[in-house]
Amino acid sequence: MSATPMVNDHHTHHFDGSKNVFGFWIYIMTDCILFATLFAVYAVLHSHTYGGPHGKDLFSLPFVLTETMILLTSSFTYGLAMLARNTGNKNIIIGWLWFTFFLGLSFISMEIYEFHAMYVEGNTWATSAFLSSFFTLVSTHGLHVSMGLIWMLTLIYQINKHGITPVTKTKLTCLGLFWHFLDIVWIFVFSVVYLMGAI
Amino acid sequence: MAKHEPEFDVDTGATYGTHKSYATGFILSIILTLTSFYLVSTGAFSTLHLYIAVGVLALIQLFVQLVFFLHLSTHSKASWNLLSFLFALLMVLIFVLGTLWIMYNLYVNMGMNAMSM
Repeated sequence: MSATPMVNDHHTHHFDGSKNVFGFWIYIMTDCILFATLFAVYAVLHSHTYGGPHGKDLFSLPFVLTETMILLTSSFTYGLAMLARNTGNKNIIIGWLWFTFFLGLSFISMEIYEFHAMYVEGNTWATSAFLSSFFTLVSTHGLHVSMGLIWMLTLIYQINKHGITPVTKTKLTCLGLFWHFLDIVWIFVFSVVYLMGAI
Repeated sequence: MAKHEPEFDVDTGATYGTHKSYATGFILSIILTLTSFYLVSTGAFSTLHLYIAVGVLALIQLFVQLVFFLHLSTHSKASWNLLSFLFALLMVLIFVLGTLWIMYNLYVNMGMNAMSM
């Protein structure tokens, strides 16, 4: 045992983000299970319309396809932001993040528009078990996307302030996992809720 | 792709794609999404076959995005990511298939018609 106090240990220690990224990955996996339960509930209740409208009567497929394409494109542009992490030019990352942010915002705006249109026609979460499970599943995804958007704004601020450091790079990577994961969940919402609902 | 050793970032321990891999994933996802949409909107197959086709296309897209966007690989350095993913997948299958199985049995044995409720 050395008697020398290691006073400089804190300053010389290199930030290792690998555990943060792995820990975040574990969180994403638990989120998968959350969505699985909501999908299971939807699969059981989707035919319980209580005399109200079926998915077929409510959904506009071209509208939802547009939402899907917007979210898919935002996943791609986020990838472009991550690819710029080693260029040393933070403005490229920030530019793509803003691009992704506005695509995400368009997606959420379209979703709110859709929900509002259903609500004013009297098709609310209280109408039937089908609509309860529909709103729970789709808005849980929407809530995740909204949280991702807030996180993206804070990340843009941090990268602008601190530049590309191991810490901001780790945060960029975690949000990337989150954002791509939400795109995958949406593929299943699009396929199971909207496309299968329209068959 | 398997030819190339994945590059692990020194700061984050994560692997990232290349412009080519992101573009490949993006284009494949668009093709798969449009195919599903086309099949359903034109009613190309019978009802059962449409359900199967949309389900299979969604699973293919899950695989495409896992590989090209999330960079899940079988590389030994990332084995814990893959292992936790497989465990989560098992849980997801148990929850979803188990729920459908038990609820279907309930409807059949209680003489309830799921479509009329």
